[in-house]
Amino acid sequence: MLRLVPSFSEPSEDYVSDVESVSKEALLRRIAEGDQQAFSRLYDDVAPRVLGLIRRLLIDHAQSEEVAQEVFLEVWQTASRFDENKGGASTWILTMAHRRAVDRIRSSQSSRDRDTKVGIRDFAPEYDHVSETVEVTIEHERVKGAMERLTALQRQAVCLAYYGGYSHSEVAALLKVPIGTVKTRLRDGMIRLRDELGVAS
Amino acid sequence: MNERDELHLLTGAYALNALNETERAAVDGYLAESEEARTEVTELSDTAVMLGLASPPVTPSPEFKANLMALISTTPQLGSGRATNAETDAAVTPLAAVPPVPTAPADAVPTSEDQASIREIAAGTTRSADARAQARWYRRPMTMLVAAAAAVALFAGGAVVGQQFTDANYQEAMAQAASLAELTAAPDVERSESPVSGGGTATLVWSEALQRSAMMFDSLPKLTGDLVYQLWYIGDAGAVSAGTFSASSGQDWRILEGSIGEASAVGMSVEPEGGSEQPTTTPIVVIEDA
Repeated sequence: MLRLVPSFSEPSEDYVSDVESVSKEALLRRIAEGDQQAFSRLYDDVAPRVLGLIRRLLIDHAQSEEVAQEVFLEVWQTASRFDENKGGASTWILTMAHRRAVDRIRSSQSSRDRDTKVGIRDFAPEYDHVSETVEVTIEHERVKGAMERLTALQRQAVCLAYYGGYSHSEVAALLKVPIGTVKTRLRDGMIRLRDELGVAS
Repeated sequence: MNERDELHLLTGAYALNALNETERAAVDGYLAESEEARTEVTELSDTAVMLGLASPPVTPSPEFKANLMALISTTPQLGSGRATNAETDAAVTPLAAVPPVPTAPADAVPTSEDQASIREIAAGTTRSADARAQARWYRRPMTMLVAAAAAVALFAGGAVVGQQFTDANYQEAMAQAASLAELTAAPDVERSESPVSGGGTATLVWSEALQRSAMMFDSLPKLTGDLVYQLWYIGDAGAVSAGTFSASSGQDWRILEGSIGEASAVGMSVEPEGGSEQPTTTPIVVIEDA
């Protein structure tokens, strides 16, 4: 199993409000048994990250809250399915959050709404468009540094896919490159990021 | 390049959720037979999570948490691995909405065995680790709790339309939300649901330790101009007001004013604006809190 996000998964960092330093994985086990207090604590730990990620994709705050609610309900309902051997709690929850946000984007109506709002802006080349926000996380700095090691096309493809929620064919259309090229760039871009970020089993 | 190579090329797009459903399914099939690919996808998925953590955090409002805590308190969970897919599929409700909770027919009489398990379930769902208890919980969500709640006074509700709930005091709303969150997370929290005559359902949530209770409503009809809903603590000494409110559309909830004390039930009636000293109409719902 991977321990990729030390600053997020260890009890000592900022987002952990637990006075008793209970791990998120332990909280999930209690949630699986119906423990609402454990849910409350896990929520406090991860909610800003979950909503932050979803908002990054959906832009619209109300829609983002709807999706965040879906995600947390899913955490509540399926906590018994969480398998620690497959990764940490943060990984499980944030992967779910990204998937749900992308699902929402792909539903045609919200896609139209979003495109109107965002104007399919070309935000990929400037990864650093969050720099105006007050809170810059450690992860942000690390990812920003790793992103700088990618080629322009890798960076654009990965950012459009992950932060834009675009499918590889949409990315190909936006970047005006063949789909096969996008598939390759998404893979070698992610592998480069993995190596730069020190994520390995 | 053969098909496996083609699929292996998709690990990056897979980890980024950039595939369509067909492609995703194809990769899932490939992953099932290739450990190398599984390892790669796991690593790239973890890398994607790092990208997620790099997004600026956004702290949800206290109301968001309060609503969520209220939602989970009425949302059944998947059991552990023992349940079959059919069972779990039936048990899991669509995620986007509050699961509609089946209500018991008014004449349903629970057996004493049911009563015992009701008590056990009502008291123990937040603590019990027992898988059988959990399975039972899924099979019979709130139904028996409602039957056990007893004393559901019914009357034919009149036409009720109109008045929009307006929250003039935002600070108060925030305090109420925090209060509800604390209540639903209390270790001894209990709940009981009942239909409301005239439409909708009411769920009483209470904690002896906190001496606090809340009523949560689903599909409670709105009232016309001069009428309000009034909540009552009902005990041997009669009814004591627990506050008035107007219903907003859809779901709504209220923290009851005062404390449970010796009251054995909570009721709600329709009263003139400003409320009444004592109920002047037949209660449209009464839920026992013992």
